[in-house]
Order: sequence, then structure tokens, then C-alpha cells
Amino acid sequence: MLHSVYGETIWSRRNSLALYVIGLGLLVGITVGVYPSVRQDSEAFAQLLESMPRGMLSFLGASDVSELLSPSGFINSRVNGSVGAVVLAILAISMGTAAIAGEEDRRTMDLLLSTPISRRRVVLERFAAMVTLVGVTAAAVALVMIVANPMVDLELSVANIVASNFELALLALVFGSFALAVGGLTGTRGLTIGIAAGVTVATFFINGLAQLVDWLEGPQKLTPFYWLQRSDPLGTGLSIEDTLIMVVVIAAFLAIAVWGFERRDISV
Amino acid sequence: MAAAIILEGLTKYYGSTLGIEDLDLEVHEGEIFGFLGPNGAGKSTTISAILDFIRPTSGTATVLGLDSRRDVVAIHRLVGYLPGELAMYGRMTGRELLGYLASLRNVNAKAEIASLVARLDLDLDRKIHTYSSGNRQKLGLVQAFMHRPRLLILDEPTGGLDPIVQREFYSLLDEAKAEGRTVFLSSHILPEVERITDRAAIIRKGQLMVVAEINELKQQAQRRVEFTFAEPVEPEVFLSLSTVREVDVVARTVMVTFAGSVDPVLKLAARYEVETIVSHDGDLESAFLAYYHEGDGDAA
Repeated sequence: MLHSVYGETIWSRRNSLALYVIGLGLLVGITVGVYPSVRQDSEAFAQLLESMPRGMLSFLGASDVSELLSPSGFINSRVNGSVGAVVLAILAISMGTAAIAGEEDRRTMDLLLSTPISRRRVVLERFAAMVTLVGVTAAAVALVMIVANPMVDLELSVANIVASNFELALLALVFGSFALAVGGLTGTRGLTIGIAAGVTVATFFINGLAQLVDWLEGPQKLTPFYWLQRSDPLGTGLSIEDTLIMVVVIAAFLAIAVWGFERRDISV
Repeated sequence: MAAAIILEGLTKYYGSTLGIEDLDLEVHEGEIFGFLGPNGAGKSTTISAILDFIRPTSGTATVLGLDSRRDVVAIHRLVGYLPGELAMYGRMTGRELLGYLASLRNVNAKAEIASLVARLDLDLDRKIHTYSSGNRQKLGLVQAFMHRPRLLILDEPTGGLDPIVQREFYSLLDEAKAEGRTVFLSSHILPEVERITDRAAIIRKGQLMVVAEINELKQQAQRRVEFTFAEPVEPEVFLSLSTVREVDVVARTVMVTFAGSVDPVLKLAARYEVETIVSHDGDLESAFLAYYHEGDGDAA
């Protein structure tokens, strides 16, 4: 595996990848597993949820109670619209940070760049490795959903499951490529993690609080979590518009990462 | 003779802090060139600029006829580099790291690696984070030499090496030279540079003090020898020699500072009964005090 920067990046993540896949797989499995009992006692759950503040629903990735108790709404509330999205974003941010800033922090960037590998290629191969691992993890989540779907009569379409997890992967890559860009510009690991994690948490809360706080409705539209939530791909299928927005944002961050890294001194 | 490295007005400021200023230097192909200076003088900054890790504020570096900024990938193909502050991928084994770097260079270096590892006596099957600093340095040398580069840029190569391995390293340098390859090495240890290089430059506070043949530098370098005599000896005895710059006397101990050969000093001292001799050769600051004074009158 240690034949390219791409291969080395995946090699160095081989253990943590397994943990991410198992963790998210369990999250999906348990979520889907408890859904039949939620469906059975839906009235009781509805009453419970009605008594909650509306903002809580928003944090669960839904706008009303009936949406939350539908199969797609329930899974969104537990996985694709909340915990799952954040966990996958953490994987992407950690890879985006390690790609440039982490290598500089470890003081190995000069050794790596002393080989005939251009800076641009280092960034592109690291980005490709991030896409691969985020993609593999999202695919594992989709697979668990597809297998569980008929077992508990979720009546979700396979196409929508794939679309939803595809958009989930894109969401994570928005944050991961943002971390890559900050790392490309600064080369400082602590700063990169701080900014990327801060922005991720901030956008997550802006999206959640916007239901309660009027003036956040504008900023909410800029949060990737909102893009995923408004189109509900698990219920309604792939949103071309949101997919395109995320792809363009990812490409822009990637370009910034290359530009930022090519123009500055590296830490040696 | 063609030039392996040409620096023209190479200058690097970090904000308003001086890294190196207006370096002009030519390293010939096929020579072993020493880049000598105390820690923090700008040696690593110069090497980083030559290899495009950092960008000069002004000036240019040309490596084997290629521009350091425009042709960086082509240059790196021809160069073997040993970092000064050697950090490594700790979770890899030595073998994995060498395989990885060889893949990035797209070379099959198996035979060369085997030969280098045997000569330097290195165990490649352990994780790098368990290596001693000496072993890490050996691994760094193997990766710098393994693709038989035309130009070796070695930043403080002998740090952490035991004397036997150092000797093996010197013979690697001699072989590289015999094959017409070029070695550019930095060091803060004068005797080491005297022993292994053909020419050397001395850098201090970011400025080039002198570039000269190593024999010439030896003539000019100041050395100190400390004699303890059985009976007190007058300083005037040594000051009568033209090469002697300074004599300090404390009771029966006489510290003689001189330039060039130790021979006349020794012969003079031998006229008296000598109890001990201590040679203070390795101190670069004192050895090149004359140059440093010329620089800015400040002998740090």
C-alpha cells in the first residue's frame, strides 16, 4: 500500500477506518432496530415529542413530529441529519487536517517534498484518499440500511438510501475540504483543527437554532446541514441542486488548499 | 567544471527577522563542499531555499542547471536530502519508509538499500518510533543515498552517529566523490569539515563570511592549545612566534591562541618541561573569531 501518497494516507488510517465503519454501522443498526417499537407506540412518542420545545426537533433534523416518526425522519434524526453526519464530518476534518498541517506539525513535510512529488500532487492525493475513506464509510452506512430495510419494513427506496448517504458523504467532505484549505493556508495543525471543528459545530447549531431564533434564518441557509435537511434525500431522493452546491464548495476549498500550500513556506 | 549549486543574492527574511542575506555561492560538480556555521547561522534556511521548502525574499538558487522555483520536481529527482531535524514516520518500520520513499522516487533501490544497511549496521524491521537517534540518523542517510543522486544535500549529517559509523559515512562520501557526484553538507563542527571537504563556506548571522579551499581555512583558523608546565613560563616566550595571536597565563598553565600549524608552538613548548597538553580544536566560534570580527565587530 505504501506506493504513493494516496496509499500511505489510507494505510495510516487503516485501523481508525475500521472503528468508524463499525461505530456508524452500529448506530444505524440500533436506530433501525428500535424503529419497529417506535412505530408501534407512535402515539405515545408523538405526545412525548409534542411536549418538547420545537427547537429540539430541529436539532433532530425534523420540522414537525409526524416527520420525525416516519422511517426517513426517524433515521435522519439519529443518523444522517445528526450524529452520523457529525461523526463522518469528524473523520473528514481529521483527514483534511492531517493532509498538510498534520504532516508539517510532525516535521516530515520536508522529507516528503524532497522526493519528486509536487506540492499540488500531495494535496490532490491526500484529498483523493479523504474522498475514498469518507465514501467507504458512507457506503457501509448505506449497506446496513439497505440490508435492514426489508427486515423491519421501513419501505425506503434503495435509490433514496444511496442518494441520502451520497449527500451525507458530500456534507462530510465539505467540512473535510474546508480543513484541508485552512491547513493549506496556515500549515498549523492546532489552528486548523480549531477553526474546522469550530465552524462545523457553529453551523450545526445555527441550523438547529434557526427554528427558534428568527435572525438565524439567513445564516442557516449557508450551513451545509441545512442543505441536507431541506431536501430530505432519504424521503424524496437526490437533490441535484444541493449536490451541485456541495460539489462546487468542495472544489473551491480544494483549489484554495492547493493555492495556499503552493505559495507559502513550509515548516521544516 | 559545471556548477552543482549557484546562489545569487539569495536572501530570506521571516517578517522583519533576517534568515540569510545576499548569499552568493558556487558549488562545483564533483566536490565535497562544507557549509560551516554555528547553530542558528542560517544553514538550514539556505538548504530549505535551495530545495524550495521556503521561498527566498529575493535572489535565486540554481541546482544542476535548473531553477529552484520552476524546476523543483526535476531537481528533487536528482537530489538526495538528509533533513537537519530528522523527523520520521514513526508508525512505519524502517523498511516500509524506505520502500515508500523509493516508490515516490519511482526507483528500485533494493540492492543499494541492502548494501547501505549492511555498511551502516541498521535493523530495518523495527518501527521507527523505537529507533535510537543514531539509528534514525542512519535511516536518514540510507534514504538520502539509496537512489545514487547526483547531488547530496546533507544537513548536519553526523549528529548522533558513533565514531565507527561516522567513518563508514566518510567512506560513502569519498565513494560518491569518486563517482563524480557532488556533496553539499552543513556542519557546526570544524574538524569534521576539515577532514571530509574540499572547500567550505562559513556563514554567520545569515551572512557568508568566507568561501575558501579547506587548506586555506586551516591556515587561517585560530586554534588554542593549553600547556601545563612543571615551572611557570613567561608569555613572551610564545608571543615571539608570528603565528601566535594571544597568550594567557594562569600560574603554570599557558593558553596559546595561534593560526596555522601547531608545529612551531609545540616545538617551542618542548623546550620546557610539559606536564599536560589540551587541544581546543572543535570550537567554531573561537576558531573563526577573526572572520567574525571582520563581519560586524561582534564576536557573539
